[in-house]
Amino acid sequence: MKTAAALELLIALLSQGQRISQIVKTAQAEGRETLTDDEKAQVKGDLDSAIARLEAAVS
Amino acid sequence: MLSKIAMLDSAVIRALLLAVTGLIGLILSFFGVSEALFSEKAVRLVDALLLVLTTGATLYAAYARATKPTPPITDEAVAKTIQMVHKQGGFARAFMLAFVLAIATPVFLSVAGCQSLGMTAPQSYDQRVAYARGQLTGFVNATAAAVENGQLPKEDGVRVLDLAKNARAVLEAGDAAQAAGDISTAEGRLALAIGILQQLQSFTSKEGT
Repeated sequence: MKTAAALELLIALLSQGQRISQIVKTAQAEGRETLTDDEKAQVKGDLDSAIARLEAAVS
Repeated sequence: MLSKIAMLDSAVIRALLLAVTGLIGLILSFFGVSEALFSEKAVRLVDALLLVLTTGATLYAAYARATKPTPPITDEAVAKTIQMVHKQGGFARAFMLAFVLAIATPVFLSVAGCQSLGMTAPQSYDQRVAYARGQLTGFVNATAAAVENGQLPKEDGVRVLDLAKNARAVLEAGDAAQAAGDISTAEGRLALAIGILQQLQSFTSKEGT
């Protein structure tokens, strides 16, 4: 059971990498070195949500 | 009776020291030291060799940890090993090994700029920061899930939370520096954030094996 949970976590982490990769790929395809404000807000929002989730988990 | 061994008698420690040497070389290369010393072609060759060294040493460390005897190397580890055997019937938890692997993979991708696993290599500061935030997000989410499922003690979750908040603050300081046109400071903050990610990895390794 622990191994199964670990694999789920591994997949979740790699999925997060793929999510950022997609944003970066879009930016590069459009010839942009910078990300748009929306893209930055999306990435920051994901991190803020994750930190809020961990805060709730440890409280 | 469980006895400790000398630090350098451990194959895992030796392999990790080698890996750290390669990583230091890659970090120096990241800051342009290689470019100052070698031609462009030689820099690529040196970076490739450092990557092979780091990857090979890390894989060997994992192989040694998995297949060779792993006696403790400190008195504290002796006590904890005996405690863990009583508590969980073994020295390593499959969950934590996979967890470390999950963290090591994105950190490796960040340092090496690797395009494996279908990920697009970042080509600018903005894109590297996005990957750093993404790695941090994945790590924090994974930690939260582990705490929620009772796989990780809350106190470990608090430690991860503190480091994650530090990393977020450092990345935000980098954003501010970039907005002010100070790219050098921004790059420094990003390198610092990556260092905190590596601390998170080390912390998890220490707690999990």
